[in-house]
Amino acid sequence: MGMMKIPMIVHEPDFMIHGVLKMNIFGQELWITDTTIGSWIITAVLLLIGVYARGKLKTATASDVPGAFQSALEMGLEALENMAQGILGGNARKFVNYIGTIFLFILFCNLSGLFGLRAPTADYGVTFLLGMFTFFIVNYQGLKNRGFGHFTSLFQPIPILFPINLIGEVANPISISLRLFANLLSGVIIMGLWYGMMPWFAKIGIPAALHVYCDLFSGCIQTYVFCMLTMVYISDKME
Amino acid sequence: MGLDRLIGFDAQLLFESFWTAINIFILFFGLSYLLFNPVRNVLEKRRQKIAGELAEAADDKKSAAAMKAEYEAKLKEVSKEADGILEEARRKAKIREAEIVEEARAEAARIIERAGREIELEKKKALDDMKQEIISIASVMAGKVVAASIDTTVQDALIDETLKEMGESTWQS
Repeated sequence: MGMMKIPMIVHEPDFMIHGVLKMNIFGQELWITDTTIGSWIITAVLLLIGVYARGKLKTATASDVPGAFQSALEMGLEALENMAQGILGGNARKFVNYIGTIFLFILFCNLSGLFGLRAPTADYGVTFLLGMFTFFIVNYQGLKNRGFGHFTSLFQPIPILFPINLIGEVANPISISLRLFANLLSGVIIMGLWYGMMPWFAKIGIPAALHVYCDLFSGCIQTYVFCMLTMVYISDKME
Repeated sequence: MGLDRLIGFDAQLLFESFWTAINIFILFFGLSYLLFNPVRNVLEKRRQKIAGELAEAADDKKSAAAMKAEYEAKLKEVSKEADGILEEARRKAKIREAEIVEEARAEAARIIERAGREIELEKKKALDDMKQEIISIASVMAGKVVAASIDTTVQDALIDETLKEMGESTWQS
């Protein structure tokens, strides 16, 4: 008896990363993927917003009444600065631009699922790099503020805890990058399965609710969590 | 054969990370220049403007209070001066009043004195006139008596009569 064809499946569920352009670099077969292209698009969109904002703000003087766009920018930046100040205190100023950059990048990546892109943050290559950036910034701050004490702190409170401390340090970037990646990937998989496996009538209306949860809610929460954790790790090395 | 994958720990992952790093670098410098710093500048400018205006308002208030105090002091001085002037005027008026009354009194006394003197003179003149009259009457009578060669008794009787007619009070007053 042959396999019975299930009429419900319209086409194969698709939640994979697809290669778009093959390249050969140092003998390695490497691909420009839809993740890469998605992140380029998001970078371009953010830069366009930035260009528009700069154009608007160039003519703004202190006595002007700010419009809706300018007010939104000011509120956004103040919210970001307050958040950074709450965690990093007086050192917040140095990190606000970086935190703001990754905040906007991750947020737009996470929300790009709503516009038909495959969320770039659902690719571990992207979140791994973000986690590594956090790791480098954290350790750079640790070395800068504590000097050699940054390494000796791994042997505290007692030397035998060194392996655990070391794992704790190395686990930070892995944990935050995997957390972001896995949350976004789960959303991408759920949406891919739904669009790929459900009959046509189930694709009307119901996916909206799923998008609200998987893309909007989860996307915003994970963005916030990633930025918060980055700041918390940095603040740990400030003392 | 294309690439289809979910995750893999290989060169492709690093390749993806490489592109992300480039994107993040571009975004960090781009957004700092285009978005974060301009917005911060605008906010900072507004903060400074508000602080400046507040300081200006505080200065204005302080100078207004100082001016008010100055004006009040001046007003008080002015009213004190006015009181002084009034007081001085009143004092001068009193002195002048006393002078006037004194002068009037002296004048009145002088008038009365003059009037008394005039009365006295008039009285003296009247007495003199009367004496003159009496003498002339007596002379006339004496003439009459002599003319009639009447005796002394008749003469005495005539004089007495004449004196009686005139009345004692007439020449004594």
